[in-house]
Amino acid sequence: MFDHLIHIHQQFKQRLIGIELQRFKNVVTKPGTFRYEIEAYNEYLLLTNSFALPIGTRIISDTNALEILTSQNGLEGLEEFSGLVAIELPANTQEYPNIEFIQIVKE
Amino acid sequence: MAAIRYNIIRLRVERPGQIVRFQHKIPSNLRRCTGFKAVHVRGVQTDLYIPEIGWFTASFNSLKEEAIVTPVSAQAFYNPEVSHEFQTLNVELKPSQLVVGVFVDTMKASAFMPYVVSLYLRCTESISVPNRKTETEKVRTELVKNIQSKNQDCSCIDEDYREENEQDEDDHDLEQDSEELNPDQLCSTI
Repeated sequence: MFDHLIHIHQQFKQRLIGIELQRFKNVVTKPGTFRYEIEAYNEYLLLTNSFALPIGTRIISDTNALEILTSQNGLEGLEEFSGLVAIELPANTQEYPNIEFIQIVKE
Repeated sequence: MAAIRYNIIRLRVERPGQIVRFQHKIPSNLRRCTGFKAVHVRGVQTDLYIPEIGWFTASFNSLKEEAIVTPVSAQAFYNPEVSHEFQTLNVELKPSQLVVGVFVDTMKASAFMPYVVSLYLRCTESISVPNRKTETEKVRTELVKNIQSKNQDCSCIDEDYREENEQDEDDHDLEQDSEELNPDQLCSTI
Protein backbone atom coordinates (compact mmCIF):
# COMPACT_ATOMS: atom_id res chain seq x y z
CA MET A 1 0.00 0.00 0.00
CA PHE A 2 1.44 3.37 -0.92
CA ASP A 3 1.74 6.16 1.58
CA HIS A 4 -1.14 8.54 1.07
CA LEU A 5 0.50 11.49 2.75
CA ILE A 6 3.73 11.21 0.76
CA HIS A 7 1.70 11.01 -2.43
CA ILE A 8 -0.38 14.04 -1.44
CA HIS A 9 2.65 16.14 -0.59
CA GLN A 10 4.42 15.19 -3.81
CA GLN A 11 1.41 15.93 -5.96
CA PHE A 12 0.54 19.22 -4.32
CA LYS A 13 4.15 20.29 -4.71
CA GLN A 14 3.88 19.48 -8.43
CA ARG A 15 0.74 21.56 -8.61
CA LEU A 16 2.42 24.45 -6.78
CA ILE A 17 -0.22 24.35 -4.04
CA GLY A 18 1.02 25.05 -0.55
CA ILE A 19 -0.51 23.09 2.32
CA GLU A 20 -1.62 25.04 5.38
CA LEU A 21 -3.17 22.11 7.22
CA GLN A 22 -3.74 18.40 6.75
CA ARG A 23 -6.05 16.37 8.93
CA PHE A 24 -8.53 13.52 8.82
CA LYS A 25 -12.23 14.03 8.38
CA ASN A 26 -14.97 11.41 8.73
CA VAL A 27 -18.54 11.39 7.56
CA VAL A 28 -20.63 8.97 9.59
CA THR A 29 -23.62 7.64 7.66
CA LYS A 30 -26.77 6.34 9.30
CA PRO A 31 -29.92 4.51 8.24
CA GLY A 32 -32.62 6.61 6.65
CA THR A 33 -30.27 9.30 5.34
CA PHE A 34 -28.94 8.79 1.86
CA ARG A 35 -27.55 12.22 1.03
CA TYR A 36 -24.85 14.15 2.86
CA GLU A 37 -23.28 17.48 1.98
CA ILE A 38 -19.92 18.84 3.12
CA GLU A 39 -18.53 22.24 2.35
CA ALA A 40 -14.96 22.11 1.16
CA TYR A 41 -14.44 25.53 -0.37
CA ASN A 42 -10.80 26.54 -0.75
CA GLU A 43 -9.75 23.15 0.48
CA TYR A 44 -9.52 19.58 -0.75
CA LEU A 45 -11.02 16.34 0.52
CA LEU A 46 -9.24 13.19 -0.53
CA LEU A 47 -11.29 10.03 -0.18
CA THR A 48 -9.20 7.28 1.36
CA ASN A 49 -11.62 4.38 1.79
CA SER A 50 -13.52 4.06 -1.47
CA PHE A 51 -13.27 0.27 -1.09
CA ALA A 52 -15.53 0.47 1.99
CA LEU A 53 -18.38 2.26 0.23
CA PRO A 54 -21.45 0.44 -1.11
CA ILE A 55 -21.58 -0.15 -4.85
CA GLY A 56 -23.53 2.68 -6.43
CA THR A 57 -22.42 5.40 -3.99
CA ARG A 58 -21.91 8.71 -5.76
CA ILE A 59 -19.72 11.56 -4.57
CA ILE A 60 -20.17 14.70 -6.60
CA SER A 61 -18.32 17.96 -6.05
CA ASP A 62 -17.63 21.15 -7.96
CA THR A 63 -14.35 19.76 -9.26
CA ASN A 64 -14.77 16.00 -9.47
CA ALA A 65 -17.37 13.26 -9.46
CA LEU A 66 -17.13 9.60 -8.58
CA GLU A 67 -19.47 6.64 -8.70
CA ILE A 68 -18.39 3.51 -6.90
CA LEU A 69 -18.59 0.65 -9.38
CA THR A 70 -17.63 -2.98 -8.95
CA SER A 71 -14.44 -2.37 -10.88
CA GLN A 72 -13.37 0.43 -8.50
CA ASN A 73 -13.99 -1.47 -5.34
CA GLY A 74 -10.41 -2.63 -4.96
CA LEU A 75 -8.62 0.53 -6.01
CA GLU A 76 -6.28 2.26 -3.58
CA GLY A 77 -6.04 5.54 -5.43
CA LEU A 78 -7.16 8.78 -3.86
CA GLU A 79 -10.05 10.77 -5.28
CA GLU A 80 -9.98 14.49 -4.72
CA PHE A 81 -13.02 16.72 -4.18
CA SER A 82 -13.42 20.42 -3.63
CA GLY A 83 -16.24 22.96 -3.32
CA LEU A 84 -19.61 21.61 -2.26
CA VAL A 85 -19.26 17.85 -1.88
CA ALA A 86 -22.43 15.76 -2.04
CA ILE A 87 -22.41 12.11 -1.02
CA GLU A 88 -25.33 9.96 -2.21
CA LEU A 89 -25.72 6.43 -0.98
CA PRO A 90 -27.71 4.00 -3.11
CA ALA A 91 -31.36 3.81 -2.08
CA ASN A 92 -31.35 0.07 -1.44
CA THR A 93 -28.16 -0.09 0.60
CA GLN A 94 -27.85 -2.03 3.83
CA GLU A 95 -24.38 -0.68 4.57
CA TYR A 96 -23.75 2.57 6.38
CA PRO A 97 -20.03 3.15 6.32
CA ASN A 98 -17.80 5.80 7.82
CA ILE A 99 -16.49 7.74 4.89
CA GLU A 100 -12.91 8.83 5.48
CA PHE A 101 -11.19 11.78 3.91
CA ILE A 102 -7.89 13.53 4.28
CA GLN A 103 -8.69 17.21 4.46
CA ILE A 104 -6.12 19.57 2.94
CA VAL A 105 -6.46 23.27 3.61
CA LYS A 106 -4.40 25.18 1.10
CA GLU A 107 -2.37 28.30 1.75
CA MET B 1 0.32 38.67 -32.92
CA ALA B 2 -1.90 35.78 -31.90
CA ALA B 3 -3.84 33.23 -33.90
CA ILE B 4 -6.95 31.60 -32.49
CA ARG B 5 -7.10 27.82 -32.30
CA TYR B 6 -10.01 25.71 -31.08
CA ASN B 7 -9.73 22.50 -29.08
CA ILE B 8 -12.72 20.19 -28.94
CA ILE B 9 -13.30 17.64 -26.18
CA ARG B 10 -16.15 15.34 -27.24
CA LEU B 11 -17.76 12.85 -24.89
CA ARG B 12 -20.43 10.18 -25.30
CA VAL B 13 -22.89 9.54 -22.48
CA GLU B 14 -24.33 6.02 -22.52
CA ARG B 15 -26.44 5.71 -19.38
CA PRO B 16 -28.34 7.91 -16.95
CA GLY B 17 -26.28 9.47 -14.22
CA GLN B 18 -23.05 8.50 -15.92
CA ILE B 19 -19.85 10.23 -14.90
CA VAL B 20 -17.53 10.57 -17.88
CA ARG B 21 -13.95 11.53 -17.17
CA PHE B 22 -11.66 13.14 -19.69
CA GLN B 23 -8.04 14.08 -19.94
CA HIS B 24 -6.88 16.24 -22.81
CA LYS B 25 -3.46 17.56 -23.70
CA ILE B 26 -3.49 21.01 -25.23
CA PRO B 27 -0.84 21.52 -27.95
CA SER B 28 2.26 23.21 -26.59
CA ASN B 29 2.15 26.05 -29.11
CA LEU B 30 -1.00 27.43 -27.47
CA ARG B 31 -0.31 30.09 -24.88
CA ARG B 32 -3.67 31.15 -23.46
CA CYS B 33 -7.27 29.97 -23.38
CA THR B 34 -9.68 32.87 -23.76
CA GLY B 35 -13.08 31.20 -24.01
CA PHE B 36 -15.11 28.03 -23.73
CA LYS B 37 -18.47 26.67 -24.77
CA ALA B 38 -20.18 23.49 -23.58
CA VAL B 39 -22.83 22.17 -25.97
CA HIS B 40 -25.06 19.21 -26.59
CA VAL B 41 -24.13 17.91 -30.03
CA ARG B 42 -26.69 15.18 -30.75
CA GLY B 43 -28.77 12.46 -29.15
CA VAL B 44 -31.28 14.22 -26.90
CA GLN B 45 -34.54 14.76 -28.76
CA THR B 46 -36.92 16.97 -26.88
CA ASP B 47 -39.92 19.17 -27.67
CA LEU B 48 -38.98 21.55 -24.90
CA TYR B 49 -35.78 23.32 -24.03
CA ILE B 50 -33.93 21.50 -21.22
CA PRO B 51 -31.70 23.92 -19.34
CA GLU B 52 -29.48 21.19 -17.92
CA ILE B 53 -28.79 17.69 -19.13
CA GLY B 54 -25.49 17.57 -17.28
CA TRP B 55 -22.51 19.67 -16.43
CA PHE B 56 -18.81 19.93 -17.12
CA THR B 57 -15.99 20.64 -14.77
CA ALA B 58 -12.46 21.15 -16.02
CA SER B 59 -9.12 22.17 -14.57
CA PHE B 60 -6.14 23.44 -16.54
CA ASN B 61 -2.36 23.14 -16.33
CA SER B 62 -2.37 19.63 -14.84
CA LEU B 63 -4.72 20.34 -11.94
CA LYS B 64 -3.15 23.69 -11.08
CA GLU B 65 -6.10 25.85 -12.10
CA GLU B 66 -9.75 24.95 -11.74
CA ALA B 67 -11.42 27.10 -14.31
CA ILE B 68 -14.66 25.63 -15.65
CA VAL B 69 -17.90 24.49 -14.04
CA THR B 70 -20.75 24.86 -16.50
CA PRO B 71 -24.10 23.22 -17.30
CA VAL B 72 -24.99 21.81 -20.70
CA SER B 73 -28.48 22.43 -22.07
CA ALA B 74 -30.47 20.75 -24.84
CA GLN B 75 -32.37 22.73 -27.43
CA ALA B 76 -35.92 21.88 -28.45
CA PHE B 77 -36.13 19.67 -31.53
CA TYR B 78 -38.02 22.28 -33.57
CA ASN B 79 -35.70 25.08 -32.47
CA PRO B 80 -32.18 23.86 -33.08
CA GLU B 81 -30.59 27.31 -32.98
CA VAL B 82 -27.60 27.28 -30.71
CA SER B 83 -25.79 30.30 -29.39
CA HIS B 84 -22.31 30.54 -30.83
CA GLU B 85 -21.04 32.77 -28.09
CA PHE B 86 -18.14 31.62 -25.99
CA GLN B 87 -17.97 32.31 -22.30
CA THR B 88 -14.93 34.22 -21.19
CA LEU B 89 -11.95 32.36 -19.87
CA ASN B 90 -8.52 33.67 -19.04
CA VAL B 91 -6.06 30.90 -18.40
CA GLU B 92 -2.41 31.16 -19.24
CA LEU B 93 -1.26 27.76 -20.44
CA LYS B 94 1.92 26.09 -19.41
CA PRO B 95 3.35 24.01 -22.27
CA SER B 96 2.19 20.41 -22.76
CA GLN B 97 0.04 20.10 -19.68
CA LEU B 98 -3.32 18.48 -19.15
CA VAL B 99 -6.89 19.64 -19.08
CA VAL B 100 -8.62 17.22 -16.70
CA GLY B 101 -12.28 17.06 -15.84
CA VAL B 102 -15.57 15.22 -15.74
CA PHE B 103 -19.00 15.41 -17.29
CA VAL B 104 -21.86 14.38 -15.01
CA ASP B 105 -25.21 13.45 -16.54
CA THR B 106 -28.22 14.86 -14.67
CA MET B 107 -31.05 13.88 -17.02
CA LYS B 108 -34.06 12.03 -15.72
CA ALA B 109 -33.64 8.32 -16.26
CA SER B 110 -37.10 7.98 -17.87
CA ALA B 111 -36.24 10.45 -20.63
CA PHE B 112 -32.69 9.27 -21.19
CA MET B 113 -31.19 8.51 -24.58
CA PRO B 114 -27.47 8.20 -25.33
CA TYR B 115 -26.07 11.52 -26.45
CA VAL B 116 -22.88 13.38 -27.28
CA VAL B 117 -21.62 16.61 -25.70
CA SER B 118 -18.65 18.78 -26.56
CA LEU B 119 -16.50 21.24 -24.72
CA TYR B 120 -14.96 23.79 -27.07
CA LEU B 121 -11.89 25.64 -25.88
CA ARG B 122 -10.84 28.81 -27.63
CA CYS B 123 -7.12 29.35 -27.24
CA THR B 124 -4.54 31.65 -28.74
CA GLU B 125 -1.28 30.71 -30.34
CA SER B 126 1.59 33.18 -30.25
CA ILE B 127 3.18 33.70 -33.62
CA SER B 128 6.84 34.56 -33.38
CA VAL B 129 7.85 37.48 -35.60
CA PRO B 130 11.48 37.36 -36.74
CA ASN B 131 13.62 40.16 -35.33
CA ARG B 132 14.09 42.25 -38.46
CA LYS B 133 16.27 44.83 -36.78
CA THR B 134 18.90 42.26 -35.90
CA GLU B 135 18.81 40.78 -39.39
CA THR B 136 19.14 44.20 -40.98
CA GLU B 137 22.13 45.04 -38.84
CA LYS B 138 23.76 41.74 -39.70
CA VAL B 139 23.30 42.31 -43.43
CA ARG B 140 24.58 45.84 -43.13
CA THR B 141 27.70 44.72 -41.26
CA GLU B 142 28.45 42.12 -43.91
CA LEU B 143 27.96 44.70 -46.63
CA VAL B 144 30.38 47.09 -44.96
CA LYS B 145 32.98 44.39 -44.58
CA ASN B 146 32.67 43.41 -48.23
CA ILE B 147 33.01 46.96 -49.44
CA GLN B 148 35.92 47.67 -47.15
CA SER B 149 37.77 44.63 -48.37
CA LYS B 150 37.23 45.60 -52.00
CA ASN B 151 38.14 49.25 -51.55
CA GLN B 152 40.77 49.50 -48.95
CA ASP B 153 41.76 53.00 -50.11
CA CYS B 154 38.29 54.30 -49.77
CA SER B 155 37.81 57.41 -47.73
CA CYS B 156 34.58 59.03 -46.72
CA ILE B 157 36.25 62.36 -45.99
CA ASP B 158 36.43 64.86 -48.83
CA GLU B 159 39.57 66.85 -49.56
CA ASP B 160 38.48 70.16 -48.06
CA TYR B 161 37.51 68.50 -44.89
CA ARG B 162 40.85 66.68 -44.84
CA GLU B 163 42.85 69.95 -45.19
CA GLU B 164 40.95 71.66 -42.43
CA ASN B 165 41.57 68.89 -40.09
CA GLU B 166 45.17 68.04 -40.87
CA GLN B 167 46.40 70.12 -37.96
CA ASP B 168 44.35 68.25 -35.49
CA GLU B 169 45.12 64.96 -37.05
CA ASP B 170 47.04 63.68 -34.13
CA ASP B 171 44.31 64.58 -31.71
CA HIS B 172 41.65 62.86 -33.74
CA ASP B 173 43.48 59.72 -34.67
CA LEU B 174 41.73 57.72 -32.10
CA GLU B 175 38.31 59.05 -33.00
CA GLN B 176 38.91 58.41 -36.67
CA ASP B 177 39.92 54.88 -35.96
CA SER B 178 36.77 54.30 -34.01
CA GLU B 179 34.68 55.75 -36.82
CA GLU B 180 36.34 53.51 -39.35
CA LEU B 181 35.46 50.54 -37.25
CA ASN B 182 31.84 51.56 -37.06
CA PRO B 183 29.96 49.02 -39.18
CA ASP B 184 27.04 51.39 -39.60
CA GLN B 185 29.08 53.81 -41.64
CA LEU B 186 28.70 52.97 -45.28
CA CYS B 187 31.47 54.06 -47.59
CA SER B 188 30.76 54.80 -51.24
CA THR B 189 33.31 55.15 -54.04
CA ILE B 190 32.96 57.35 -57.10
